[in-house]
Amino acid sequence: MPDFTPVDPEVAAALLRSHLEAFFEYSPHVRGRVGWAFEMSDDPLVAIVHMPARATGGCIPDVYTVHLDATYYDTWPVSATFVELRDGGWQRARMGTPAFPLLAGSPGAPPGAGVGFEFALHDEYPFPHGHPDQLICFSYNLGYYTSAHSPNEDQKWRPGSDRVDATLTRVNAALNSPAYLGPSAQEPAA
Amino acid sequence: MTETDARKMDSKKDKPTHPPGQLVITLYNDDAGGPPKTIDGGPGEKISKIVDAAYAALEITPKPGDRLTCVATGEDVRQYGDMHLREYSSGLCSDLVWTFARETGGAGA
Repeated sequence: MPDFTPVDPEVAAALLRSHLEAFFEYSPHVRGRVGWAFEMSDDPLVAIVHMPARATGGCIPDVYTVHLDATYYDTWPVSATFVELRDGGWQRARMGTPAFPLLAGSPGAPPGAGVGFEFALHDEYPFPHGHPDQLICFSYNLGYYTSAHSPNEDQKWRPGSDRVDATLTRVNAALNSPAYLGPSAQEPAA
Repeated sequence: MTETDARKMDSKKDKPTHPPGQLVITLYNDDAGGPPKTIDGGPGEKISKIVDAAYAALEITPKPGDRLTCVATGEDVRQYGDMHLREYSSGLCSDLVWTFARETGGAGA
């Protein structure tokens, strides 16, 4: 079982902030694209990132919000979760809401071509020894490791080298791939 | 010389110079982040040679699961290995901005 010891909170928070600032300054995926933004929350270990998806209904892209938790960063990747603003705070997005994207081939979504690399989005994944939760299943997300998946050497997170860039670019690539079918609902649930 | 002129000259000094007639590929590392690297390539050079130079610039050993992609099109660069840079840049990836990403583990592709 891997060692999930939290990183010194001051170090993790400083890394998260500086890496996010650099990502927004340099990444070619961000430059010139509407919809990208980030904010640090009151908890310095948590950031909220807004990112555009492929426009499926016209020319205005759908924008999704991802909650990043850096408790174990950068020994491990951040924990990324699609979220929505509800009851005054950021809550886990659920399948059947506009904040939860439909990705062909993922559980609960129509079948179809994948995103182009190994990646899936689970609305409710049975984590071992824990409660079911959302899982963005890929090896640059903490949940991939805490759900007992086993990457090969080339897929593994590399502490000190890999950054939050690796997480954000892959989530964004999935949302801009042909597998992205749009929000899992157009209107919020009543 | 005014202070502004001096600043302009300093700014020119800081910019990398590229040999005349060369094309410049801008290369970002999607895993490690940070500012991009630039690679010069002659118009008659094959893409495979530029790809080798890209890996050397990144100080990374190529692996089969890597993705080296033209940002504008999302297309894999390595499939055009036999093509010359002039031809590649004239239609397939005109701004010559590439990204590198290692293999990703997860559910089926």
